[in-house]
Amino acid sequence: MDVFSQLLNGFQVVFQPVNFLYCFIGVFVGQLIGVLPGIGPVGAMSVLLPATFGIPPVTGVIMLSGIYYGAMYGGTITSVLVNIPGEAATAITCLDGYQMAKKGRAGPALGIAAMGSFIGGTVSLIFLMLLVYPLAEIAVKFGPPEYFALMCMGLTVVAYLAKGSLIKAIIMAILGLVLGCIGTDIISGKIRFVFGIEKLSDGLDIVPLAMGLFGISEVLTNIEKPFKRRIFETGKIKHLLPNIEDWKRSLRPIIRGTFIGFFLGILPGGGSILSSFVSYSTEKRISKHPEEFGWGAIEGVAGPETANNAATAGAFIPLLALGIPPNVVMAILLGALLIHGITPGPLFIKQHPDVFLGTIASMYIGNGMLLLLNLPLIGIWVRVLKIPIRILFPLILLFCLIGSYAVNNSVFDIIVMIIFGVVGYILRKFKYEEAPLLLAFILGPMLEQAFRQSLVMSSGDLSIFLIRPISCIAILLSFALLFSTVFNVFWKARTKISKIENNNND
Amino acid sequence: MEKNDFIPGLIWMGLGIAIAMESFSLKLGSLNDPGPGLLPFILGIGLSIFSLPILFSSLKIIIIGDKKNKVGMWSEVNFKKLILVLVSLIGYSLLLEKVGYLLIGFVVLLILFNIIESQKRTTVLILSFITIIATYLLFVIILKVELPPGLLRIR
Repeated sequence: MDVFSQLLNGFQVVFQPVNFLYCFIGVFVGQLIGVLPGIGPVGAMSVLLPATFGIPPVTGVIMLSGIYYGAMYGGTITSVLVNIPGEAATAITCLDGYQMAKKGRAGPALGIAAMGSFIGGTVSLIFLMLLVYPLAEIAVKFGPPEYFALMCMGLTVVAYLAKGSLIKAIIMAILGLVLGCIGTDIISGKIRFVFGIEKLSDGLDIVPLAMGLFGISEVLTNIEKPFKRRIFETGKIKHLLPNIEDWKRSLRPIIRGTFIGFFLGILPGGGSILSSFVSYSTEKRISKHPEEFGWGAIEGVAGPETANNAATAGAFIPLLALGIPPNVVMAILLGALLIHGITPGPLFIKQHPDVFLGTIASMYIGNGMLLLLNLPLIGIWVRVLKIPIRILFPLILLFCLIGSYAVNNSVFDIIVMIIFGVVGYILRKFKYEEAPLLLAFILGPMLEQAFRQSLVMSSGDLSIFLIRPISCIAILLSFALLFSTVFNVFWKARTKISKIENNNND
Repeated sequence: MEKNDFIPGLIWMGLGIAIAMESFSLKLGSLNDPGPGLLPFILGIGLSIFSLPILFSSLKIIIIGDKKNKVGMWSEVNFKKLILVLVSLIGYSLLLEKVGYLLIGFVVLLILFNIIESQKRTTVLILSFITIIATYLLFVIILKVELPPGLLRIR
């Protein structure tokens, strides 16, 4: 398979004016919401999901993925300039990026971050092309037991890597799977958990669910906090281009960041956030002057910023080769493809080469656009940062209201969205994370089908999951994570209780 | 875990049992012919099991008494704002098809711009007007999203 001639076909897809335009819209919106606080790429993608119904699938996917990697570029700007991560994956950049800005070196920090992002984003696409074909070839031989086991593993790893409590994340994943069961059972045709609500018999829609959990609840959580006016002392940003010394120090971190990001991006859950942290700690550990980290070391910006972009490419691999989304962002992309009647999986690359190659090629173009958008327009992004919350939040709410209605032209969807907005708000209050819920919701129907098919295949023998090597490894790994989680909670509770006892005794 | 986690723990436990019971009535089938209730049944049981560690550890903290964490988690919530936002969202969804997007959207924007952070009347009016026209142009005219015309009968 000649990768480069294939890619050429992809570029032909992107250079169709409509795709080019939507690619631009995607990266622009992505960068915008990366800069804006209060809404992340998941929220923005779910709000714009209905806008992709009327356009060809490849165009929609090009736009949605643009939002994803565009947000990484945007998040960097706020991390460096105001010490507030616009996006979780750029949080680590605050450490050294903001320090560089305080020393008047905001320009080189932003410059190297953009260059690193570009290099990481584009080089990892080559890895993606090299890896996805052989993997899809192997995956064709996978049966339902392998799929079931891999999805279980994906979900447990996502829960395991969640920010808060592991056990809470597992509960969220179970809840998501149950929500996925609502509606008509595909195999028996029986209607489940509908409780007389006719509109539910087709199941819940991903759009109102995602908008409620990631749009409405985000706004509800934020409006209760009193807003302190943040003061931006950014001044004029000069010398965007890093000098030769900067390049010398950053080159290796960028190369390492590309590898770290890409390979961690393939793993479920981790993606861009994890890889940026791993890259930072790696650079700090092997640096000849680790004491500079936290005080404006350019390596601490170049590495993580490269890694989080490289990870976006890695995350496409499980989705494109197996049809299993490794994180929420990919789950929404899967949702977009499913709405167009395309099921990603090992055959996807062969059946829909235009969608596959077009998306890959669009990421080259998109990364280039971002580089151009980012540096010269930095002044505009700083001004965007100053848009007050009182204008932003009503707009987000209105977009959610319009978007949820647009899916099926039904008020029912708006109500579903509001309900999940409230549910999400309460869950956030109790420190439950929504990402495992949404991912499980998307995986639910596939997981159930694979589970039941496997049992039929083995005539009810559960050992089918253990006698096949790939599913055996995946199942054992998920069980190991699950059990370590339960014991971990008991153990942590014990230490916390003894701590409180000590406090009370004081 | 904190003591606040007790009530959610109870809810998960109850929900898990309810899901398992409902799934049971859906027919579990057998292992070699799994029915529509089998997976949800397992999930319901799983939910109940995983609620146990939450229940136990939060209950223990309640019994011992946590002197340090006195501030309630709801103390900083601005319920008035929260409820007003929710009421306007629900009002929008109930009236959308009767009144039409332009009118109800405008009214909801007036309310939202006001309650999220109070500002001058004229600013709110101008902002809402610009927003409603801009979104109408973007969604209805350019993206061809169908929004109910309602009383104004403009399409």
